[in-house]
Amino acid sequence: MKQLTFRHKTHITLACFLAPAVLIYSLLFLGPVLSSFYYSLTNWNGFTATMGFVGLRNYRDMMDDAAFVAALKNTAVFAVWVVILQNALAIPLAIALDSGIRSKNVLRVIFFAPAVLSPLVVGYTWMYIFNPNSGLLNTFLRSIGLPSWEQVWLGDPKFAMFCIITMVIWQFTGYSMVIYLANLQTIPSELYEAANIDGAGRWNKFLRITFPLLAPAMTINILLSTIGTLKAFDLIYVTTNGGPFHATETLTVLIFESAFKDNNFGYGTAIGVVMFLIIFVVSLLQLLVLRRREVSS
Amino acid sequence: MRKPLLIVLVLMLCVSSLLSACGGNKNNNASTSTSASPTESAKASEASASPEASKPAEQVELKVSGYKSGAEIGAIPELNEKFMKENPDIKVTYEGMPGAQYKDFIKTRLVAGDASDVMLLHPGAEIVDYAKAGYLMDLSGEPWVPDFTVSAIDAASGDGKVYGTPNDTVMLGVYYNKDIFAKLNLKVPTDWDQFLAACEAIKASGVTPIAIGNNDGWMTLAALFVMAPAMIYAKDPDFDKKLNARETKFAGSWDEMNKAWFSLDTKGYLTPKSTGISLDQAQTDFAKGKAAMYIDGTWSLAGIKGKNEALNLGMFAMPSNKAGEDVYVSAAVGTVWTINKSTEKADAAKKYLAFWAKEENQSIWAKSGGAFLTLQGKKSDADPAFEDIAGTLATGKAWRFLNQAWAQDAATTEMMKSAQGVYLKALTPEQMLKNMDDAWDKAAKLQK
Repeated sequence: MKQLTFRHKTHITLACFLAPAVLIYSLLFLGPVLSSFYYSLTNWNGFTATMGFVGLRNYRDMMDDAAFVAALKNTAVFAVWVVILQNALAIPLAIALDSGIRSKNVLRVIFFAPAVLSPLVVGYTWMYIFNPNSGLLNTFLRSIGLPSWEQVWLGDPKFAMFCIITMVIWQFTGYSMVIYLANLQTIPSELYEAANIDGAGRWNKFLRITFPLLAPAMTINILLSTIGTLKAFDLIYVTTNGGPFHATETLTVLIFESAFKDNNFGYGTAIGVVMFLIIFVVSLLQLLVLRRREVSS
Repeated sequence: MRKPLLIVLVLMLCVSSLLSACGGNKNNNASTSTSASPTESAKASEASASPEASKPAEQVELKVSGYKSGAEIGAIPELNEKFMKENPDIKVTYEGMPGAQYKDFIKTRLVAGDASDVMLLHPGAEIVDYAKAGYLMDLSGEPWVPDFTVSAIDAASGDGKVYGTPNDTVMLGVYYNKDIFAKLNLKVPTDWDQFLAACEAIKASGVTPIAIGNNDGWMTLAALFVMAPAMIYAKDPDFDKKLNARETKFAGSWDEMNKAWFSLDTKGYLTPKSTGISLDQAQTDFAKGKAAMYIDGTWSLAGIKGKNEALNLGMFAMPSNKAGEDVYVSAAVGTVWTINKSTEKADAAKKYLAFWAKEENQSIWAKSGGAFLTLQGKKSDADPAFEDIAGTLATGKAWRFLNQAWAQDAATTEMMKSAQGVYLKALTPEQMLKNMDDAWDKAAKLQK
């Protein structure tokens, strides 16, 4: 009996401590988010006092909207490439910097540094590199005698998306690397010692010890980079603004354009809701699959 | 046990993808305005009744925002200093940012009930829409209204009410390098055939005829804006009215003009690979003499000169007309100061606008931005580079910037994107026009 009241008291104390945070969170965050579900059912233009309720019409229109379908495809291409390449690069990088290289601390900082930059800074810097006339990349290609390889990088629909993928990977591989590095510290050295005794080579040790035991970090990294890429906006907005000719128009760019440029706030919000559902389902599936993998390994 | 927790975590991460910034503000707006209005009205209008009325006036802080910043800021800081010297009881703070950014910024601020007291807005649709939504103060009774020309006041009006000071006339036109023209014995062209001949001669001399950067497509928008007055609006002044009523469409009426423009690209008169080049890079090419012509607004003169002080340049109206027809210039009011209807500092704001409306201040502003005066019967002290185009303006053959009267700006956005498609050979000029019509109809349908 006594214990129960004590527990009750703790609960009340906890609730008191939590209440302000919950209140602020729901007022400033949940409220607006929930209201955007409502706006997605209206034809609000974004600035007038009145709006009309249109039910699910925005969602129906979306299905017939070629721009929406194209944006969906662009978003998927962007996310898949970034998630795969970023993780494929971060793991070897983390292993290399986990070894006994002397300058590893300096190198870790260098590789992580881009992650703290604003995407705008990254975008503007890379625009100088990709400039078709005087940019670093084309100038370099010219100087090594490969002028036929010169491209209009960001201005060519064939290359623009891959230029953006390059920028994102450049910026965030270091971030993934740090998470893998942390995971590498937790792998017991006894395992490698045992493998050495068994005569396992480097590749075998990586495949049978390191890679499976990196599963927790991989779960987090894949989840973070998936959500991050599906939500990416700023970098694309400054470098190509969704162009050239819609080639890099992702869902986020389309939302921005519908809501703020075309004055279809209701429609833009509806795309946002769909995007939310997509991210939710995709990350949930990833989580379930990757978690199972962690347990089995 | 752990799975549900994780699911909640993922849900929270995902939720941040929703458009949340603006949604909530709507409600805040309503609540702040209802809660604030009794106290504010007590403060402002019943000031005489309150005991504090006898106290000396405190310094009022007037917040001003606008789409002029960086190289384009002109005399705004100078004029603000001057205003504060003349009105020591008012402190002006100006917040400026680039145009595209400002457009979104001011919209969200207005919706949130958090916009500055005085706002710089574009004439036409922007003012009309915000006035209709009830965000702008009616200034029809202000003493400065009759000082401006009728057409300028018209650009700052909506539904017959005046909402701001039309500060300047700006023009879009073709900058040209006078030295290159002189070397090739070229005169300022006055019809399309002469223009093509000039391009051909320049190309033959090894110089790019027209510098253009289309990484966002805006420069093609500018190009079509300078072509349309003579080719479309001189023949049908009611084109926009019919367009807004959907009696006419871009497809079927703009074909000839669109083809004429893009033929310049196929003939090699434009900067090649322009979708990978920015406006700034194109401007540099022109300033450094690598290109003979460059299509942009009068406001860019300072920027060009900043890149090459010694450049001997002029500007003419795009001669898209046939031989024997009139040359038209693309001219519009560039900036309008408006007052936020819910401001608590209406008196200070009105003083600020009255200050700007004075001839000496209008002149300082016009000069700093390479613009022309909109005051009744006053002659502009414009840069000599604008001699040619000012001559065309003086004939009265001028037309506003096209989208100022369009009911859907979605067509403007699509115009820039589809133009890139044409340069990239992914679209024909005809398909581009159809895309613009489709974008218009889609946006209109969603607003129904």
